[in-house]
Amino acid sequence: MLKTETTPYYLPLGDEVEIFLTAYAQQLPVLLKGPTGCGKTRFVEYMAHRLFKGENSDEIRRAVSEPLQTVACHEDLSATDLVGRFLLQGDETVWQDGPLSRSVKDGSICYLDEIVEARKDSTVLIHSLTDHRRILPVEKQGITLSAHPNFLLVISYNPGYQNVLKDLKPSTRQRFIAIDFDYPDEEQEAGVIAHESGVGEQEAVDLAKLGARVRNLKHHGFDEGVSTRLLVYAGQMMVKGVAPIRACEVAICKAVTDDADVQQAIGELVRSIFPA
Amino acid sequence: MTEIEAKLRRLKPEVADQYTRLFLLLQDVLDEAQLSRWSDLCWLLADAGWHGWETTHDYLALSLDLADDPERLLAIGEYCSLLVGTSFEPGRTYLRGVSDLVQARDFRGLSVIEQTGKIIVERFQHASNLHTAFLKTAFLVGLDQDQDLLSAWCRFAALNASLERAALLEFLSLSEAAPQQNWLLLAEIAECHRDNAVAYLAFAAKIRYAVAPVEQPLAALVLAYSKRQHGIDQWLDALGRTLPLLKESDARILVELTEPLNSVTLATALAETAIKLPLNKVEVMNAWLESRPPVEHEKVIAAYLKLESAQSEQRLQELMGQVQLHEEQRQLQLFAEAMSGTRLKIEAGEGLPTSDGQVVRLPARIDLHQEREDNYRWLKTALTHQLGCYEFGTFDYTRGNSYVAFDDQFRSYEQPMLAEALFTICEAARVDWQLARRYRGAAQDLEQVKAAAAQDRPSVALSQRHQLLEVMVRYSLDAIPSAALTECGFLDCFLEKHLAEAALNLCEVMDRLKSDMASVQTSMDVMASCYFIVSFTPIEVKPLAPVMYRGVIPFDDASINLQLTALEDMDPDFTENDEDGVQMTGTTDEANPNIDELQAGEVENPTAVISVDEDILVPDDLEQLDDPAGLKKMERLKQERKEPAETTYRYDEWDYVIEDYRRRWCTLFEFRSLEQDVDFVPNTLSEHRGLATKVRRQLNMLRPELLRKVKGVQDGEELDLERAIEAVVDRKSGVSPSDNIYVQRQRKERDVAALFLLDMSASTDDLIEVEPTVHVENDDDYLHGFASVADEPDKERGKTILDLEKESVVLMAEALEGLGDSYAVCGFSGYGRDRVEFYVCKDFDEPYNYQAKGNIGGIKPCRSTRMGPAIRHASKMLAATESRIKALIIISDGYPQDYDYGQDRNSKDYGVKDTTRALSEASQQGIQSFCLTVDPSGHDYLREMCPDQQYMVMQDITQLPDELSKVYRGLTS
Repeated sequence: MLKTETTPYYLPLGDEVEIFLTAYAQQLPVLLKGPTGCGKTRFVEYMAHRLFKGENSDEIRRAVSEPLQTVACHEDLSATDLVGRFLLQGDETVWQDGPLSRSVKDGSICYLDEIVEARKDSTVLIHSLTDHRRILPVEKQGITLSAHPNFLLVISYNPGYQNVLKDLKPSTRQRFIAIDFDYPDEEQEAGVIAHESGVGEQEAVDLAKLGARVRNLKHHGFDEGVSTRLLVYAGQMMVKGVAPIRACEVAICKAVTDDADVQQAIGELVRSIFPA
Repeated sequence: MTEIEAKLRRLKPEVADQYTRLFLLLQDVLDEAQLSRWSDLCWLLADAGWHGWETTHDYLALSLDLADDPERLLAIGEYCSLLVGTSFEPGRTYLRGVSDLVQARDFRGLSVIEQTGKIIVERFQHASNLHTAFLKTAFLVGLDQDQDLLSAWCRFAALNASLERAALLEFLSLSEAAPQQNWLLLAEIAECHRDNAVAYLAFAAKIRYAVAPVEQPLAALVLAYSKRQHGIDQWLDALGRTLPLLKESDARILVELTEPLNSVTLATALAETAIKLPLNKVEVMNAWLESRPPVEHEKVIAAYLKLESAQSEQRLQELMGQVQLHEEQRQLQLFAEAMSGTRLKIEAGEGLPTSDGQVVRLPARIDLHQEREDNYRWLKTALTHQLGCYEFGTFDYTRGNSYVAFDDQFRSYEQPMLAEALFTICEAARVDWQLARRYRGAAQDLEQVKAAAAQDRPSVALSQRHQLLEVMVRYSLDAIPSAALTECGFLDCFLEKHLAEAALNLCEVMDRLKSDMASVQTSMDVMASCYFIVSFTPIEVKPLAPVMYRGVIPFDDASINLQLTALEDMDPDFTENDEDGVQMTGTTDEANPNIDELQAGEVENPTAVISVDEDILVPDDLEQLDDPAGLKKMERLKQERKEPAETTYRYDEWDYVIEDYRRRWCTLFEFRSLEQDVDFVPNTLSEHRGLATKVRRQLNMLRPELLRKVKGVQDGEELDLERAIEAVVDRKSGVSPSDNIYVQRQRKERDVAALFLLDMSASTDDLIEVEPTVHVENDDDYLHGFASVADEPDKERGKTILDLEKESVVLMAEALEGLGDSYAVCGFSGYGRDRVEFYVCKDFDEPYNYQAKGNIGGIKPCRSTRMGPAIRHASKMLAATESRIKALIIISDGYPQDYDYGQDRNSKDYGVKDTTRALSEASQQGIQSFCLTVDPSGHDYLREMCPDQQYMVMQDITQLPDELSKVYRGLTS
């Protein structure tokens, strides 16, 4: 659900906004690659707002009630979940559209988060939607939907942490414009943290410093380091009066790893950065 | 002339004269009978034997002094006559002693000496040397000493006299060496236990000065032990080594602590460890002693006191607040990686903290402070400072093309050592200030550590140069509020008034290092300014005391290593390819050669360059002189990178006697490259082709059982009846049915890691007796293969046990390659606890390639079988794989054995118990183990050693390959 009133906060790190706008204008589907908690979902929200409610919108788009359909994909997510199914309601059989069908019909953005997790039959749907045909076959109804011109498919994918079996097939990957996401550099991240959590400048800078240091430990059992999201959480705790060292302990040390030594090492880092 | 005089005159005219003189004198004093007796005595003594006249001479001299006490004179003479039976010496010694007493007019001790002397003379009748020795020593002891002491000594002597001659001699020589003793006590001790008394006497004599402060309580202890008839030799031995090394107060405490132990064995143990103990911390010592195991068995307590048990060490550390590096190493390693983003390793090292671009070395044990927290803070700050040098660009300094930029820069000054010292201070200051600015948490730690360091700074008798340097150091430690300088009150204690202005200037210059933008170049510039201020002071060769937590840093080495690492990262073959070395060129102005800038080979014509400046200090390493740009240094460091050091690991060992671990008892060396034997594997495979196929077939049988049924999925081969019924029910009741009504066979993956551990002990070199009888039942190639070997016994040496172990493993490896399981092949041997050798032929993630095959082939029989550490190391490797199923398969030929595996070399128990423990530790980590042995008596110990009786004793070793695959199947499915 998109809050229509305020623009979601998003700090562009590069030219991703322009690229997305261009891809949208050309009706090219977009793939967002990057580690967890670095702003992919927020970015899509921001772009959806811009395109449908904000500075890049037009009349038709403004009329759309739900500019963004987000689907969190998981192992049991099948084509039916995405496209729709017949449901029994009392004595009647009623067809209910899935989020993808809705989006295709309405002309909005459909965002499939962590697409690699989903079952294979759902990824097949993507193929037909993402070439020049832009059609969605609905087998159960026996119809084929043609995508609204304002429709865009966006998928995200976290390349670091799954094992090899669950990679995106090349035939799927090569249908998308790919935008790489990564954690912002210290300065930018400090800005994000400050904005999102409301914590003071010094603390935000220190949290960003902590994030950068912890990410140096990428290879020790937690492949992505600490996400911006967790740093924001720590900031939010601090705003409410939790002591900085304790806030970092609960938001970061204990959350990213179970290895006692790594936890302690991160603890030492925290103690080096934040005063007691 | 009297008759006696005449006889004397025949003997020695001078004596006769002397006699005559005295005779006349004594005539007035002595009565007739006395005089006569006296004369007789004089002759008796002279006539006694060779040189008897000497005795008479002495007697006559004595007579002069004792003229006023005729009775005594005669008594002395009588006694003396007893002594001169065999030789004149005892008599003379006696008389000499007496004459000393005469001077003092104190004859109190004489009678007891005479009594004891009599006993000795009677016991050892002809041992005149002994008599002499006794008398000499007796008088020596009696000299200036208390009457009681002398009596006591004589009692002691008498005791010894009742023993053999050697004992008495020993006693006498010891007494002579140290006549001033507490003889009363010693006599008392001797009466209980003579040997103890003598041992104590020897001990006290040897280290008098060390014993003196603790003499009383120590002697009391000796007495106590002696009363209980406990020998104290070993204890005194240990004390003899320890006491001289202790301070007085510590020695006193040691003796105090020994008392309640009530046992000589324990006293000895404590004495042996005393140096390692913090004796000055009495509460700590008491608490530590209280924690000793409350058992009867003294050996256990002794081990505790000797700090050999893990419990003991741990308790002491807890109490001491000590921090051991190896316990914090992993966290600190991760901390270092995170902070610096580099692959710096942390290792223990001697001396001050240091780092060289690849490794950071920190002290192994930190006990500067009482509290653990403070020690840990010091350690962390020392590490942070080292890391700070990397973060804040200390090693970014460059100077032209040189590899030794720092060195070159220092040598451009007239006093390079001063330049270096100044730079070190400036740069360390800069790094610390930057750290404090960037890391608020570390800033707090730094504040405390700096304050402590400032307290420890020297402040007396510093040379002028050192005074200025000291000002800089203290300023860098934030220990000088600048106002103090202008007032000069604060620094009065070490700064001479005329240097105050220079000191002030130094501090002002150093302020530049506090800026946010300060870089290593800033430090060099500040150094230059400081040099200008300091260089006028007289040269001081001794270095200033370093700030400990800052350590020492070899700037050029670190810089070179960092560059090499960067190059390696770009091109991993860099260190292999030597042609990429950099060429150095330079020109020199021949007319005005600047010595400091000359590079090798630049001077074309033989030119004599004479140095006239005496202030140039000779560089410590002359290497620099013919390696100006550091090219050789760079090459050397490059070489060192190619040779990775041997990795060693330390493992605890379980001692069943003390029921505790001996911490870090064994040192294990891991070797990854062996002498290769590339023919072994192909030979094995061709020889046992049939067997290989059989093994592979057996293992492949493991595959089809890998599918499992998963219920409740959206599609599958069958209906899941339960859920299907539910779906129909739902549909009928108007609720949307679920789609998940099928059952599927999903491929379960095998997640297995197996480690084969081969015993490489010397006993595996034994030959196998090949069974000549072979029955051919079927086409089994296996039997044929062995039959053919039996037919040709003379062709080769014959197979050893190890050969067969290796062959089996090779066959397994081949089969496992097909199965896809992860496996490793290792061997172990060694000699003693300090050298356990562990060979990794093939690690889990290494391919079964040429090298691995060669390694397996190259396994040779070595030495002993210390299984415990090998199993622990193998467990560590297995645990790291994180596989679901972890299997450890040990192939051995005998029981665990090593020359110091347990105190008693002949007992198997210690080794077996430690191995049992190691296997149970493995089991707790989720590792299943299995022991295969060819030792027919294996049941005896394997029953105890292996958890759940997971072992097999093979009757016929030729069954090994077969059994191995069966075992593997059992363990991993």
